Amino acid sequence: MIYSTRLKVIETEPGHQLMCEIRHPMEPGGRRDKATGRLLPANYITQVVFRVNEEIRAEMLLGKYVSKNPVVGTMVSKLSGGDRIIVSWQDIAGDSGQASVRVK
Amino acid sequence: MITKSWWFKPCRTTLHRFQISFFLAAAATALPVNLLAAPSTGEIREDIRQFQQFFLSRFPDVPLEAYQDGVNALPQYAQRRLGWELLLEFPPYESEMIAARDQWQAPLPSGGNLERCFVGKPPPTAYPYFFNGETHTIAGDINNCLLENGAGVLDGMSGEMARLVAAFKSPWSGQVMDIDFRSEEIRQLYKKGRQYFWAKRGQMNFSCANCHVHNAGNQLRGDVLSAALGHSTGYPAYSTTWSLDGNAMGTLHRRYAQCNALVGAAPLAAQSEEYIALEVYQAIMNSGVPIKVPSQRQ
Amino acid sequence: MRNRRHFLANVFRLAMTSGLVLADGITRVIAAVDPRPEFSSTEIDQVLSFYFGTSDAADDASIRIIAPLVTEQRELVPFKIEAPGAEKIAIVTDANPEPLILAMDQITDKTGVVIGRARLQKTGLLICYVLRNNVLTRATRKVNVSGHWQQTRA
Repeated sequence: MIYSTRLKVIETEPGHQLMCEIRHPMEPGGRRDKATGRLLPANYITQVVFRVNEEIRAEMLLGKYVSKNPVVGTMVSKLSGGDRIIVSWQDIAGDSGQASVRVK
Repeated sequence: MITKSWWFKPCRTTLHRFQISFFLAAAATALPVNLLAAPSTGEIREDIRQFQQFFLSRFPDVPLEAYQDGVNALPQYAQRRLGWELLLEFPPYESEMIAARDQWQAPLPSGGNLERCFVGKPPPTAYPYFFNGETHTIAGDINNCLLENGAGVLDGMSGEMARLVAAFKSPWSGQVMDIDFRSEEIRQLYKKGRQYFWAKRGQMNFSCANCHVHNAGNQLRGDVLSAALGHSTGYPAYSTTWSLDGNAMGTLHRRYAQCNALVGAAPLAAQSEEYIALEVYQAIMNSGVPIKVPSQRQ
Repeated sequence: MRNRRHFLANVFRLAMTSGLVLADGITRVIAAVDPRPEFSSTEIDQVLSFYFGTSDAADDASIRIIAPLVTEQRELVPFKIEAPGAEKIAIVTDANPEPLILAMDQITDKTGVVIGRARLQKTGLLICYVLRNNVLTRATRKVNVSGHWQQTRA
């Protein structure tokens, strides 16, 4: 499955706020499909990593109780123009994704 | 013997009897005329004034413009508002709106697109309007355009329709509602919508007004009831509840159908005459409230 | 034993446990699929010990948890943490069967800002543990899950 990822960089005080949205079902397991009544297998994101110019700046560990289509974010110290920010994630089903933004 | 009871007072005098029969005769002759006549523009203006004044005095700290945020604007919602504000830091409707704008400009089978169809049409703040013998709603105009350009029509409840309406409305976000109600047809619809809004229905015997006028700001179990003023200015909206089903954007008529279902009344079809009438009534009541599309609702 | 339902529930639990012991091979296969089996922990202390190496924490007023006091939507509770100077942050809750919501390592920047969206199954505490200079502190905030807004398909 391909889940879309979007990354936003917002300049605030005292640093740049990085926020990413992943259109992912975040299925915690144990729930049933409303239409068919079948058990839905667990499929949730376990790891999100924010990198600035290939250097890891924040690493997140997600549990199954993060909402569907999760938005996660953090703040890093002031970035300069041309810095490349990459966010990447992986879930327990083996899917992964990433998005990148260059600071103007 | 004449018995007196608290609910029935027999006529004692001839004059009294005469008065009653005179009143009944007068009512019988006046009634059909009253039922058919559309309210005058003056009457509608007075309705708007009374309706808005009711909410402005009920919630003195909420200015008229703030009603575009629906229930989020009410002081009774203050403890919950932070959640909505945090969501808007990265609004969940953004990816829907990206898809919506693409769809709005996507070429149709005949080569045209929806954006071109709407050139020369009034702004969304003037919808619904009456022109050329028919009442135009945004969803109706979108379907007409799709038909003219060789594409299939969309269901007015569908997420796709909600996205298209939102794509049309969003550039006008912040403009105030301004409906032209001079035509007889719009005033007739207004009357029908007003009746629909204030009439009780469903297993719970609730009217729209019971919750959203008389009890606006009060709690219904765990939920705060929104004020009727400002309803429809935020639609089509992205609803978190709808997003759990995967169809997050919904039109105003989808919300009407949901409201009907909640009070145990049979939901009507999107673009049915009653819903269009209700849309006209609410749009006129919201005169002066800015629209805010897209918006986030619970 | 308070009543028959509790008794039956306990019998069922016992049967399940013995069943799981018998099916040890199967559980190992399931555990192998989950890349982080440590985090299917149901105890807050276990999460903390795994993540911070300790679970002793004092209350700290400098940690700010921004979250609504009341929410109608248990599936989507947005929150924001501000704990300047934090190297590691973990957000856990007592409202879910498994406490962990989100944990973050931020060794270089130490801005201590975390933004996320949580599911809360019932009214409970959002608890934020913060590690600064090898000292673990914490702050809590109660979030009331209100409203049973029935989802009606229309």
